[in-house]
Amino acid sequence: MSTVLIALGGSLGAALRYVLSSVLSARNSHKFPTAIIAVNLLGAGGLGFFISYYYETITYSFYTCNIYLCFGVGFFGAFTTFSTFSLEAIGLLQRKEYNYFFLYIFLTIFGSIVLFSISFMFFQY
Amino acid sequence: MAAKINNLFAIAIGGALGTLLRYHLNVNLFFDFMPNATIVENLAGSFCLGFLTGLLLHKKFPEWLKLGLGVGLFGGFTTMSTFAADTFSIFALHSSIDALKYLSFTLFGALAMAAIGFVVGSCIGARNKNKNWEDSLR
Repeated sequence: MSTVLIALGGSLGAALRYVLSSVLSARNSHKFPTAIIAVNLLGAGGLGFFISYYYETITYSFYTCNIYLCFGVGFFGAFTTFSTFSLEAIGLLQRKEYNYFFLYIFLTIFGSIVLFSISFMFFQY
Repeated sequence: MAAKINNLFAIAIGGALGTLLRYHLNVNLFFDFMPNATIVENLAGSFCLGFLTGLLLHKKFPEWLKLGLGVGLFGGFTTMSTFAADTFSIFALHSSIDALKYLSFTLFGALAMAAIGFVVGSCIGARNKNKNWEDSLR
């Protein structure tokens, strides 16, 4: 049962990331990779809201709770990505776009942590 | 349009496999308060995507296979949302030093792994440039 839920969430998350990032990058011809920033920030914020809302249900049993497996591990986990982030950052470095390189890393890493924290506190305090 | 449906299907299959692999690593590698499994996943996934990108400089793969592996499998295997959640919880429950350790290890590790994977992949791709990938199966 948990395998099916994780696979379902993961496939939906990955497919939605592809659709959203291709729509966003089609609108933007700039060399700065805004699409993956948007996807990662959206996913980190989304996971914060999700964990915050279901906090009572999922605390201390993350890996046995079906709703967390489907949405937390599956959907939000697969919707966001670290591999594309690292590759794009390396690409900026290769093209000697040092300012964009640091901006990209800063926006993604601190942005996703800050957005997660804010949205996590939303239903908690 | 038919090709697009194929691509989406490949991404969904890859995403499901990557996510399941990540889940099983999480359950089996989780041994202290540091999310070791997530570190391993993000570093390994970055290496693999770097390798694929380097390989694709020299070799032609069908579109669905590129997307299924790169966007689906490696994209689904690595995760930014869990990384953010982990950093926050280490910061809140343990110490800011440990959160900073986790953050910098993942960030610099993943960037280095992506670069190494890219170099290795493009070397292997250049060496096997004239070979067809069907030929290597014979």
